[in-house]
Amino acid sequence: MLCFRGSGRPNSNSEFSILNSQFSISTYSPIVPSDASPAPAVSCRGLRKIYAGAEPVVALDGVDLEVVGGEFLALVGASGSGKSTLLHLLGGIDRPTAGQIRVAGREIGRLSENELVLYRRREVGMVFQFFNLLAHLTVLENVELPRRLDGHADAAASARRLLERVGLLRRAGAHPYELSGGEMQRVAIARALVTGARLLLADEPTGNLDSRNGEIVLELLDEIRRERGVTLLLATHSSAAASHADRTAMVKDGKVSGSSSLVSGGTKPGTRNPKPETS
Amino acid sequence: MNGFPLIFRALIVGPARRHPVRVLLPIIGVAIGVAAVAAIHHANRSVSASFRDAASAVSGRSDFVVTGVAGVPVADLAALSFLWPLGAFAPAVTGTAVIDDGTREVAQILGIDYGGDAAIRDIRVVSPENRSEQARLLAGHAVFVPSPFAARHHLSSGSPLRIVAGGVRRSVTVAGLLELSGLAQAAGGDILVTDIFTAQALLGKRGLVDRVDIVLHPGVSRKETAREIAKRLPAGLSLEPPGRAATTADRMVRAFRFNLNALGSLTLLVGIFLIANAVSIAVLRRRPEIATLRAIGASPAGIFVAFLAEGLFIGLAGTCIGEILGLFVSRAALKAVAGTVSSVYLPTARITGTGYTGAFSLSAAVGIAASLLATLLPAFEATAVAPSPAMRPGSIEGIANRRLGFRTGLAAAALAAALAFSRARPVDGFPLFGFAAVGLVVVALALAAPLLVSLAAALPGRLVSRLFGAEGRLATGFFRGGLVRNGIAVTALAMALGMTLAMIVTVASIRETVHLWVESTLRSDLWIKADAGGRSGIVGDLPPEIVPFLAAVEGVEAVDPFRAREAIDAAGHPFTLGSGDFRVVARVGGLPLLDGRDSRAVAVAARERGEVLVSEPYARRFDARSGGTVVLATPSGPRAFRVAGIYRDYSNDRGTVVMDRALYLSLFGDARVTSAAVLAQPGTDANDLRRRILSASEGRYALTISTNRELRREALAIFDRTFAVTRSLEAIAIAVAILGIANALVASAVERRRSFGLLRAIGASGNQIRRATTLEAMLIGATGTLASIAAGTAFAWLLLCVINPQSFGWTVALRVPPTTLTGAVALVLAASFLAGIVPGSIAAAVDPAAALQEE
Repeated sequence: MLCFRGSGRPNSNSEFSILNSQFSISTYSPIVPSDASPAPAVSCRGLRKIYAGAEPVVALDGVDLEVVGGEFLALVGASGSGKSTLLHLLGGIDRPTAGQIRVAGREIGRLSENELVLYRRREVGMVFQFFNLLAHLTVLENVELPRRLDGHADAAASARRLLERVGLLRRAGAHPYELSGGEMQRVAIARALVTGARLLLADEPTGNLDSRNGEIVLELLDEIRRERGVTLLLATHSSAAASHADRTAMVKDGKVSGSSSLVSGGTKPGTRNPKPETS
Repeated sequence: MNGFPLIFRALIVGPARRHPVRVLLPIIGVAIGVAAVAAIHHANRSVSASFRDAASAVSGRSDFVVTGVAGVPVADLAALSFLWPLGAFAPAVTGTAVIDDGTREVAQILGIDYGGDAAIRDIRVVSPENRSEQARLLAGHAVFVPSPFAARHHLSSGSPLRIVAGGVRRSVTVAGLLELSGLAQAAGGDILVTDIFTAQALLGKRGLVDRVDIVLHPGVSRKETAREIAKRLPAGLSLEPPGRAATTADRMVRAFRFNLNALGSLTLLVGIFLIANAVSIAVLRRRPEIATLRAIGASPAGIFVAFLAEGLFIGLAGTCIGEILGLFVSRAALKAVAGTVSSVYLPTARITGTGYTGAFSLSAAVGIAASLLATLLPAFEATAVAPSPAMRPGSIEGIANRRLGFRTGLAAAALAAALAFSRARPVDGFPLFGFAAVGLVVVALALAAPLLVSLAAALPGRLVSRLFGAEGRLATGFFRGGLVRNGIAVTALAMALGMTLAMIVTVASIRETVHLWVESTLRSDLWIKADAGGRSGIVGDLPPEIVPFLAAVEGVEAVDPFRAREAIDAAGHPFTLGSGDFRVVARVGGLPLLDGRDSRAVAVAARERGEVLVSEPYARRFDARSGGTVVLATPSGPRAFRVAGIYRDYSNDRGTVVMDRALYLSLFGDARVTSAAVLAQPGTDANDLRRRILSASEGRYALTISTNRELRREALAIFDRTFAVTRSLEAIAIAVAILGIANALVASAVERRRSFGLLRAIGASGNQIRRATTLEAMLIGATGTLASIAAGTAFAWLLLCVINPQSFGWTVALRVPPTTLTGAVALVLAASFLAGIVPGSIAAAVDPAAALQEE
């Protein structure tokens, strides 16, 4: 259960606590500069992904999707439905077989390998189900790494601020294997944001967590999305997790079908889906 | 490179800290390889340097050396008198002696013109200091010796010194002591310097000198003078650069040295394979981390450099340890190599250790370069890790299956290239393409290994499943599940065991061939040579009178005096020119001809027609054919001889041309004898005859007499000594390969902690997992052994039919020693079982809860 104190507005010095949780944050200075560009819109047209093999697997089969800047979209579907593949294509860690992906108006599928490296480094942050933290680096090093890769001298300072934001600054010197699942996922979120990425892709971020920690992570994602003006896409098979989103799109057999939101068309970021009665 | 230290820590340092053994094993592999390369290179360099130093000490400042095919007649020196205004020339007589004071050391005898030699060579007399006294002492059979030599033999000026020279015991007087510099350094300081006439008398070379060194005044044109000298020289004499003697000696042993280098490189190759193995496994194991790094924006270059740095670290650490190890190993290697050079090639060669710096630098460069090379491919593979699929648990081995066809195609291409290389001719006498073909077979093996694992898992895997129940099924699953990882282990094993099996077959085949050859060629009852101080080779000649002396001894049926002298062709390639009594060959045979003809009939015809017989190595090296001609330099100029036949000969890899003694005497006028074979009359006991000869020669000749049986035994003993270094290198290579298997299995066990944890969680006992892991190790061992038999056959064929004929010129009949081969295979299977124990224990000890919580 969450209880907010303070304004809760982005870019403000907010203070909040989570009941029964272990962290409390008093100050927060975002990395994103105040003159940051608007959150990126995402657009997919006729997106197909086929995995080659003896029996080719059609993971995505003509996906059309529009996400407005700053929106929180939940992609809901069963395992193997194609939602992770869609996030991987959006994150530039895999290439589509056909179709178009536009992020902030730029065609991602046509980027060269080097441009993709820079895209992943600067413009998109990913959070994975299995955390994918580097076991031999400390928490701080894990978080600062993407910013270091981009050549920023302030990487450690930025990482510290983000760790403070996710409530794990005191664990900065620990290694990932010393953390709980929830803590690891919060570190992963901090890592995803450290370069100032404006598109956040979360692939089953609560899939490996208990419900309490899952709730904490989802709240954190949503808060950070609001604070930083980030476009957030969440892949999940849980309708409870999806309830945090502005809008929900169903993914089934490689197709994205229908969406629901409080606001028609999903054009009003910051508005939540109704909470489901059961989780 | 931005963020590189963190990438390096995440991918390399962290895992290395957690599992140091996995880094340690390839380091040990490289260290052993570097030590082997350093030791062999040091030994080989020492051999070359010793030849060079000896030659340069004798040549002094000379610009040219005049030599003759049968020595330089003193009468011909007049032809050089035109040189007086242009420079100086100094004749010299060379030979060897055995010091007959109980030490049985071999020393070089050098006879010089004491008065006129100073222009050429540096000789510093320590005592007596008075020059006229020095000249007086030289009047009789007197010699100068270097001070350390004198100290070792308790000699001083005026001391008598007993020696064996020219097959005769003699006594000389020590005229004085020399400082160990300049000329005195020849033969490592074991030298007796005397005047020309004394040397001629001691060595039985009256009227001849062995060389004339020429030094020209500054400003005199070397080129023009050389032309002028060559024009004035009588037939049979030639002008050569002063370093020719060292070059010739070096060429004599170069095939031996080349093969040693190749074997040393084999050890390093196994070490390289260990690195490639370790880094490949690291790349496989760290695919999720690599994928994560790529997903968060790390460039492929960063990943590549990180793994390359790991290879560099392993290479540096292994090289440092290897260099220290090499310091110790090099002493043993030098001793072994020097022993082989003096017993097989040049009995009078004195090999001393040269500086280690050259061997150090070369082996360090080779070790580090090889380590980087070994890392290149896996590091490159690391850059190809896609961020998306690799992040999913369990996707590590997925890619290997997709590449099986591609890899098999490449393996076939490598084998085809190996076959093409095996047909190429040697490059300047070296079987470079033959060794390249061996390398290509290794490449083919590495590429085909996953396919072998796949096939092995499908066929014997079923049997294992039936025989060992659940554990068998598990083992088969583990085995099949790790195509790449187990393929690497299979390749390491197959390569090392295959090479060892091939070497076993090669050595056994050559030994058996030599054995049969010795049996068929040694027909005489006794073999006589000048007292060689216990050395197995020839040290010094016998005088011509030995032939009638031996023939007169009661019980002697016939004497075959053999004369052998080193010669070079127009291009400077060394060979042996020999002569024997073809009448004896016509009686007893013993010269097996390649074409199967009866050597007795061929010898009769060759004697009548003035033809020569050539050995198989000569025929290969100089492209000689039976019925063709060879051109030899004689004192009367070059002369062509028809080749009556080609005979098998395993005693000399340079090649030999043999003619009848009568023809040789008429052409070369050299009546001295290198060795003599004696046939006993029917009913005469060889040992009795030896006693009679020794008794009759008492006080006249100093002889070493071997019976037929002793000589055969000695021939095989020399062979075994020659291959002792080879065996040591094989043992090292296989030890390194077993390290590789252990490394792969331990890495495999560590990598599969999650799987083991899962198995434990669903009810498998620790013992069941241990048994399954050990069975998997046995499957790797068995597959590797099967692959090694295929690889070994290819290696053996290349060694016996390509490399050996190209290196040594020998045809070798194949012999497969079943007991030794079975023993080697059993040893490796046992080793793979033992190699499975540690990973089995690791696997059995996995805490299921902890393992399942791990990422």
